[in-house]
Amino acid sequence: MSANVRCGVIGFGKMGMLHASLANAIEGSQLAAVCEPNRTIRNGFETLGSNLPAFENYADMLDQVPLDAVFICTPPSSHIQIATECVRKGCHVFIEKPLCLTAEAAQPLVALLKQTGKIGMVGYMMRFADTFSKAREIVRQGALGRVLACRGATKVSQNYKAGKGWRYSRKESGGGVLIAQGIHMVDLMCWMLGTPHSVNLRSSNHYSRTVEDFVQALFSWKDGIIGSLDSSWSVDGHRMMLTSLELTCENGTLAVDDDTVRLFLRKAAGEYKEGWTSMSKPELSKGVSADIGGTLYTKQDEAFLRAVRGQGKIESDVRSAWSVQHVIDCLYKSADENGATVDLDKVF
Amino acid sequence: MEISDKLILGHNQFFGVNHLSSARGVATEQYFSSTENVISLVRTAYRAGVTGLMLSTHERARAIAEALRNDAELSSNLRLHILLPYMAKYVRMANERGSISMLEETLKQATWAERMAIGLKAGAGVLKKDLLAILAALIKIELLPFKGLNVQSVFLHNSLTDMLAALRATEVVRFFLKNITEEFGACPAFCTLSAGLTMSFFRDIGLEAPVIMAPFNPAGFQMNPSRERCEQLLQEYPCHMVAMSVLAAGYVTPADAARYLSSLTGIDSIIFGASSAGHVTELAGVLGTVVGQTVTP
Repeated sequence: MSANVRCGVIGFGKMGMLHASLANAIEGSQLAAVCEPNRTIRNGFETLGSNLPAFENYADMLDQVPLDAVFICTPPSSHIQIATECVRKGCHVFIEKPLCLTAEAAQPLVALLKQTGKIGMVGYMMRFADTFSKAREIVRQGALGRVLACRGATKVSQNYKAGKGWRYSRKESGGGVLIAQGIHMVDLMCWMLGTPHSVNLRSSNHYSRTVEDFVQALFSWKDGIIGSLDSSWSVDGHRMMLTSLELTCENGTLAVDDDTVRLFLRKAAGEYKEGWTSMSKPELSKGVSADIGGTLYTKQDEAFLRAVRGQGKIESDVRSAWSVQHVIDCLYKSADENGATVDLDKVF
Repeated sequence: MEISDKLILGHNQFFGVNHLSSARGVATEQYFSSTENVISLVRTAYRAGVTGLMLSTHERARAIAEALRNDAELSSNLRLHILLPYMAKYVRMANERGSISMLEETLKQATWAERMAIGLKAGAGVLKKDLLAILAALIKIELLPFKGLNVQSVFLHNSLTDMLAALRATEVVRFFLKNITEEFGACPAFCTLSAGLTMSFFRDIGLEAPVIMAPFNPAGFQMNPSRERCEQLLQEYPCHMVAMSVLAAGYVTPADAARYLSSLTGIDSIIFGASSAGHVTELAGVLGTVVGQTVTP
């Protein structure tokens, strides 16, 4: 590998621009090329004056530019094919979430990564939010005792009419608000509590034509934990996406969102006192090389690029994203069966 | 061209932005959904020595601009500092419609001549290649609500400043400087949450004394990559620095913030938010001492 990790970005939309900027801002890596089929965006990239090549076709980029790592920021339906070709060309891959449309489709990529030893990371950036990483640390320290129940939500005031483009075509995106946004909470729940054993989903659409705008999901874990998720992109009062999770445990409660961690303990445990402890973002945050779309993205990309350099392991890997995808598949299957309980071990 | 205001009132409280608590953000947004309440706070601030007001190009800024235009005291004395674009709107539109549709729909607001200039054919929705012409049109559209007001500076939103710095997009930075100066007669300025990266880049490309708005607080909140590095660059690189996030979203007290800011050399102005008359007067007093802006009651 060259002194700097040489990065390519495929798909120069909102997320592609973010990762391209971060790849150039993080020490030890640099942007080397981008690929974007839309000519206007490609021209725009060229006007930036970086003198880096912008390709229409990713195969050309992979053939012509030596790259160590590729950020894949295209619609989900194309992720697996592109990631597979990148890995075959010897690149490590970062894939924007969701991993793909179904867990089954991702199976060959999981095997290929295992065989080649290449890094494959998926963009579940909420794991890198200061509040959620603190919450997980508290749960794992055991201060709360056994988790009994959890209640998650993602909400944003975004869609009040039928949206346009791939996000609103189930064929290309895999679904609506669940796979676009609620999936972050599914990932956080799996990260903190393990993969659930059975799920139910009720969903509805009002604004979107073919994908869901509202979902209410139920989860059961083998050790008796039960949980729920309420997710919508058509609710008022949230100019930015709110991600929140409340865990009810034997020794208290943990409530976490994008801004704060609130802990209530019935009995003091470890470093935490009895009663309420509140921790806010300014208290938990540490500096990052650059904050372009939020420090969580920087930390995520730093973790990926560190792993590419052989320094440290990543947690949000393709294997764990495959499990999240499996849960999503089962949730959609449940919705198709009017909310019937779907056992994960009976699907796929 | 420089910024003459020592104290600037921020706009976050008007538009529901609160970095410590989204719930509190919603509550203050509700109070300030009345333009009268906004103007009343701005007037109190102005009389306490806060001679500048920052406004983002949020949908509601139009109503606030209109109310300011109709206020004899504020329209002639208060200076406006515009932050553009209102990023949340564009991110939402890009999510809803995709990046290209977002641009097309925004540009529909341009005049016929502007649309011709950027190669946007009426009704056809075709974007031609010149990014800088598109940017010029977008800036013009964003600034329309403030026409005729006393706009002293135009700040580029931190997401864009930091992206341009990361991609080392020198040409676009120079275009922004020229466009804001020549087209609007205002002072071009940059907001950043990556002061280390952005200031180093500006220094590398030889920008002389740029106007920068960046976080400075004793908690080191949003001071990237570190408090030490930001303080070092403030010492080394001559620029007009507007300190923001001085209270670290309410995490530090005004007295601690003032003590910290007074220990630095190179802070020229301070921008802060407040949501009540009492709060704005208190902060104007405490922070005013840092930049030498004191008003005798």
